[in-house]
Amino acid sequence: MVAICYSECMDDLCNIEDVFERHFSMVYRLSYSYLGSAADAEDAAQSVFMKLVRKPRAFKSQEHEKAWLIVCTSNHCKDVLKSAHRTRVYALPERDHTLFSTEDSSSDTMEAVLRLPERLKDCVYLHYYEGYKTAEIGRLLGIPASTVRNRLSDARALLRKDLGGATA
Amino acid sequence: MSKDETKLEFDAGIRKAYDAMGPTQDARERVRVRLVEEQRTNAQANASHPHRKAMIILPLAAGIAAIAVVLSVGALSKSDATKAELQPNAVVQKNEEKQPSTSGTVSLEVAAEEDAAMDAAEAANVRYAEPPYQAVTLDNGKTYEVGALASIDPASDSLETAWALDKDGNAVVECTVAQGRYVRFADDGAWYELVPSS
Repeated sequence: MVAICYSECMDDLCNIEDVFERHFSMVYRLSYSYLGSAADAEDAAQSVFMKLVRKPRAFKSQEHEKAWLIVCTSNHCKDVLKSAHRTRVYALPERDHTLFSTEDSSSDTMEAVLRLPERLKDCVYLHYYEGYKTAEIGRLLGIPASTVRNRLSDARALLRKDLGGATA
Repeated sequence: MSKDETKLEFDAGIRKAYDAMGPTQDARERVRVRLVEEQRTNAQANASHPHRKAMIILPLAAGIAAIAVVLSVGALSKSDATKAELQPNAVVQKNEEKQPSTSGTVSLEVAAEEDAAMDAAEAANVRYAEPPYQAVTLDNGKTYEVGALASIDPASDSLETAWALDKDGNAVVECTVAQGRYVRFADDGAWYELVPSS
């Protein structure tokens, strides 16, 4: 059991750092997939972990801890995307094209993944990158497994269409 | 290239895309430093202002209490909706004002083309029934010329989504299934018990 209890105790501070070490990459990637830029992903990841610092939580297990972070990250990113400020300022979100060379076809795949609708993003990330099965994703997100399958099916269809069927 | 190879390439492409979205070491360190600073700031604030929490919480509590009263009506209706989602048996008694059409076809929002239904059935790992389509009698006594309900298996209690075709086979609708026999269509919040006709 991993208990996250913020106090002046150094051990508790270390627990938060452990959580950070375990899940920062996941939180950052999921944020990136929602927001489409490194700067926004960094801000979002920081905000998610700040929630743990400011409002300590106890988790039943590492799986519970991970599920909380996934849902918290998704909700935070959706809030960011909905915010009036972002709608006004970031009508055309920046992309980090420099992550791939211009010849790299993976750039197209990344753009296609980033263009997926919000409702599909967490399912796609959890299935294709984290390797979760649909039933596990359903439990993590609190939705029926069949809904997860539908979303993955929709995502595959969109990616196939977006990538011209070249890799799907 | 075989279908399996194509799928592997597709999956690998997506993983590579997510790899590229990973944080740099600099980004990780920046966030780590800010978190540590925040922890220290909080610790110092709590140590120097032992009554700080109470000073913040008491005025907030009054505000939250007022908001809670305002929201209670909405929360009540929402909790009912959640209960309905989780306990279809409890809401088999339907709202008569929201009965589906009796026009002979299921009057529902068209969600996709037939190919999409087949893809969805495949993704859900269920049987996709070919035409001719069965009539399905809902528990309100009305029979609809519904196409094959692709994923409904009365013996199963694990399927939660089905796809229905209308009698012309060209309108695909999504419906939610509970316990293998209760169904709720997209434009109707009530649950119906399915009794497939012979």
